Amino acid sequence: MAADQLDRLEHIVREQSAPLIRTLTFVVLDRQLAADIAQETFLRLYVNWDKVATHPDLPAWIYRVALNRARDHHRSLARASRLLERIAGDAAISGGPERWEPDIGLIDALRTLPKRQRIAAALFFVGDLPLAEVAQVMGISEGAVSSHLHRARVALRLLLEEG
Amino acid sequence: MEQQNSDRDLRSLFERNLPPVDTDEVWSGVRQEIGLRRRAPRPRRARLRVVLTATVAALVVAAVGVGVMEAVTHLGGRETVIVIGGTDAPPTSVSAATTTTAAASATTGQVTTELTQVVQALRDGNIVPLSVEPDPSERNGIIVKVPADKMAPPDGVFYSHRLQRELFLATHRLNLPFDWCDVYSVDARGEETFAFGMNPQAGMAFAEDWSSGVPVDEQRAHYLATMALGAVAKQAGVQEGEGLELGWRAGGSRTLKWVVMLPAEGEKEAYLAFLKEVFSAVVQLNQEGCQLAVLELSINDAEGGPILRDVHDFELQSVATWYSSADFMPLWINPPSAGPTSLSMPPLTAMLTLGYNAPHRMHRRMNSDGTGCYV
Repeated sequence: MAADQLDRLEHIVREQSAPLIRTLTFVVLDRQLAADIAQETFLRLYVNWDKVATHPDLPAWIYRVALNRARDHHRSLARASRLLERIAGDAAISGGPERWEPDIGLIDALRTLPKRQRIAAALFFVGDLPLAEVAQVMGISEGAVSSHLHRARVALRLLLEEG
Repeated sequence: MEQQNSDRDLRSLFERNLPPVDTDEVWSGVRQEIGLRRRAPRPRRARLRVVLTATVAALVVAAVGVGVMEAVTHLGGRETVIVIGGTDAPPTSVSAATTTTAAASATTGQVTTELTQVVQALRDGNIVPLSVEPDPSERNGIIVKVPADKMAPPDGVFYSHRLQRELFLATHRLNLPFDWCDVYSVDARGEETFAFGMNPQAGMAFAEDWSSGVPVDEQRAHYLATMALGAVAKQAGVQEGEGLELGWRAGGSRTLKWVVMLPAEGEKEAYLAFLKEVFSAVVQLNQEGCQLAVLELSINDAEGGPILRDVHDFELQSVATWYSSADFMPLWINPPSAGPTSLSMPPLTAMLTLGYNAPHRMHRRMNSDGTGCYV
């Protein structure tokens, strides 16, 4: 990769990493895992640079790849022992060098959402993606995204009302 | 306007909880990985392995091109929907076009087989879903739609546990690839009223030694259960409702259904005294060869109003509970942190073995308003 390409990659990583990691964190509910997935995603971008650099909607590509990676992680976790899963779950929230202490109610509420609702909510509310882009990233129609968001809103609103 | 306010509040909620991200650190990590990849020469043996793998892969692709196409279709597989009609189906547009057997449209062989196996497993467990289809956003995910009235509280907790149980068993016994399932309940107007997600490969786990002793036949098991649990009810001062019903599940698991009624006076005390003993009694019965895999327990008040619906799955180490109010919140939902208490739970050994204080994620609670969630 040429120096100017590396500069562009750096620019993309610096620009996209924060929203990506934050969005992924609310999808996988594990900050460290989100950071790992983001790094893998950017490496994938590096490996496929020639094909992807000119992608008309690079941020959407990045989100899509990251969510696929998240799914793979989910699958490998699912096959791990229950004990390991529990330990991972307990350690998940506070992981990482800098402490992150989210509202446990929010995390619990997100954990109860079906995954597609959680992904839609994270992309929309955290990633700040417009509806059409959420639909594109998730590979479903805008109507389906609206439906998922509606259900997520109902579940999360309960939390707001209680809080 | 209301939705905009709601969205603003929700965005604000997320913003208050955003994790810190150090972009310098992220770039540094990526940069380091890139450097490592550039520098590290592939060992000779690894290079050979890559060549061999690529060659074998090419041969396999050439030999079973159709199979690969099928697999690719499976991964994307959005078109395969198995729709089921039957007595459980409300008059929706989904069920109107169906027959009593599973029908598939635009399917590939493999995915159809797998989905049909899911349908069959559910049917064996007396679950007749409205439809079973691949989840377009999950590579190994499926969506199961069931009638809303079946999922409705209070008894819906039995149905949803059965659904989860049969999916878990089918996934493990048939080695199905599904590792995510979104369950939607659909009302008579065809609207989705409630949803929860579950992992058919986790959330439950086969218990070791949940049943010991010389296995007894069904009649003997029923007799022993009637005697032992009857004594528990009498001791606690609760009245037996419809008597014990012992049935079989697909795969040979015995399920015990039991309805009891609390007394009009001192119902809370009776409730606690009853719960304190009932599960230990089933554990004891299983040590005598009764093989009671599942207890579906209904506790009503003196007038027949529902107080508790609970499924304790001794074979698959899971608990699902609906309760009418915080006054009747069972101990296993919010167990005391340490030490013996006056409201003691089953013996610790049993709890550890059978998961009475199972991880919260395994525990599904269904609220009285019809919503539900894992807690």
